[in-house]
Amino acid sequence: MSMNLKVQKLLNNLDKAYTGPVCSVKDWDIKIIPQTIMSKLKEHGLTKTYDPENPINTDDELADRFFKAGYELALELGLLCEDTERIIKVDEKELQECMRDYQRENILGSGQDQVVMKPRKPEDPYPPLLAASLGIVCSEEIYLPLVEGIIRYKKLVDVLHGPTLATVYGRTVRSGTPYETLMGRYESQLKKEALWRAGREGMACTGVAGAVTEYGHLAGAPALAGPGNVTMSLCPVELKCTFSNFHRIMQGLNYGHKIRAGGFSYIGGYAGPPEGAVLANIATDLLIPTILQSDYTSSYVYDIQLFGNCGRKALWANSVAIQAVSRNTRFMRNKIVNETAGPCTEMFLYEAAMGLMNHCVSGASKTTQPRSAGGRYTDYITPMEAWWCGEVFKSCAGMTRKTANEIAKKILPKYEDQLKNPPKGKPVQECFDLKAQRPSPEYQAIYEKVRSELIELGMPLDKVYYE
Amino acid sequence: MKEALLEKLSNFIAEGDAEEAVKVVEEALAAGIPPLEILDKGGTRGMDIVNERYDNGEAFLPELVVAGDAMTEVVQKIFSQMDEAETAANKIGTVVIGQAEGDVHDIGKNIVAALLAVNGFEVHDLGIDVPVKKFIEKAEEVNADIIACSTLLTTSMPYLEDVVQLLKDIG
Repeated sequence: MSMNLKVQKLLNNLDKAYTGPVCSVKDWDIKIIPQTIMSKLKEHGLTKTYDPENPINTDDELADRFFKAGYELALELGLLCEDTERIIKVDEKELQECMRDYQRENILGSGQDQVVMKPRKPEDPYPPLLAASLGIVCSEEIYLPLVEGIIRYKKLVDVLHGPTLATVYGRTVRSGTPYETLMGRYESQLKKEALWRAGREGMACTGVAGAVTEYGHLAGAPALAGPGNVTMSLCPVELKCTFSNFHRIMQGLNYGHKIRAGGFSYIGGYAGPPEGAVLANIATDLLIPTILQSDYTSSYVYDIQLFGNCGRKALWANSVAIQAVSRNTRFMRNKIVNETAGPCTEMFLYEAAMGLMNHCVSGASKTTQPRSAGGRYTDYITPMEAWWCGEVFKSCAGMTRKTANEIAKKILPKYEDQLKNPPKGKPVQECFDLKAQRPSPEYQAIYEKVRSELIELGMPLDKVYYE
Repeated sequence: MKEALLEKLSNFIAEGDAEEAVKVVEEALAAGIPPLEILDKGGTRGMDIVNERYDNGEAFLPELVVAGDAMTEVVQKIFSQMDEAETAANKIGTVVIGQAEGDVHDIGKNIVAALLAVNGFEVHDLGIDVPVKKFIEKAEEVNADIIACSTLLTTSMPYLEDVVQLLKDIG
């Protein structure tokens, strides 16, 4: 029986996890990663290029220089396998082959709910896709109406990721235990029911949101089998992977899923300054499809001191990293915005608008949203944030980076002094009617105020609206 | 000479050069500088420098970790020169730290471990995906004052309660 080419390539890279150069996780984190990144920044004259006055980069030459340095970094580093403490390296031929053979689109979902993800260049008029929501914890009893609400509008939300269940049949879920295995299947079944309730049975699902180990994924994937669905596998920071990543991807391939694999880069972490995080992020975007055979990559830059990525440093870093890869490859990427304020606050709406406008004009193909209240509190998520994110992200397609940068300079001062102490907002029960699927009058008023302000500043929000 | 030695020590700690920092400690002890003064005016000052750089975005997690490692070695060297009572009186505490079972998101834990180490705690880092029993076994082994469990994941949070419960259950 012949072997699927992706499985074959994945196995070749898994083999390297047993034969690659030996390196301890600690040496990788505190020596190899920071030293290689700093030397690459110096070699290409990229140190101190962070520009706080222009949060959205408009300089193509700078993006291309970062790409060249990130490309070299990917070839020099590879991914460290934490389980074997060996480096999975790729040579230039493998990387070039992956770039050459990479698909021209990803078809997600089926029937009338099918959507097409395409590679996007900076300022691309093709609208990016929005998956909702991120893994914010919600009470078991509101999961169904909450998800039904989140996916209600076809024009705004394309793919379901969904919240994370706090319990399964009333019992606390402990990761890596039979509770998680049970939860994996249970969440998948609830998702299918929510899709049916919302009349969107063909909508793609991106795996099991609550599965933090492979157990939940292995249990949940069979219930979501089929070519339109997606398996998600996120790697540890920075440029590392584990057998758990391979487990999930292998299982996803077994069930005909698209593979969304990813890894994040932290400003202030092992990659160092914003410029270092840009390089690490570009290397991640190149290595993940080459090593883990992802159909699209999930990666972004995060600011460790702000617990989010809506501050100036992270906005700039994401804009440069996304533009660099979009200008020089066809790789499709899911770029997440990490808001810190909660539901029913002006700040959430500003953060989301700022981050999503940036990702859209820089060339992201997809995002997963929202991260209401930084994902820190149970039930601090409503459908309203997901709708807002869809409205902004899709409306900004085709904007120029120059216009977006000028708007960004006016939005940032509205919230950046609160980034270290963002408002928590309100839980869904206090600001959204899940029966009527409408926001509270207070939340509706906040939304209308911010939306009008942003339209006045030049954000084309009147292009997309609820259907 | 005393001031110069203590300044040298601060700088080596801030740079994370454990080997040179320990050599300066030996030099300072040979010059008759009291161990506690070395720790306070050399070690602590070095920690302040790296903390300040981190807050200002001039130093990052790797610098914090190597400075923490250097400080740990300096503290061990200085304590080895003191009698038991003096050591006990001056030790801030011993911490066993790790990422709860099922969780590999260790960057926050690494920052806390590094900050504790640069601030004079004896830190035993168990790494990621640490089973409940392992925290307690290690704490018993090193006679820890604090068990610090970290997690980003909701589904790993119950393990934090499990550590507390197991401690209570075994008395």
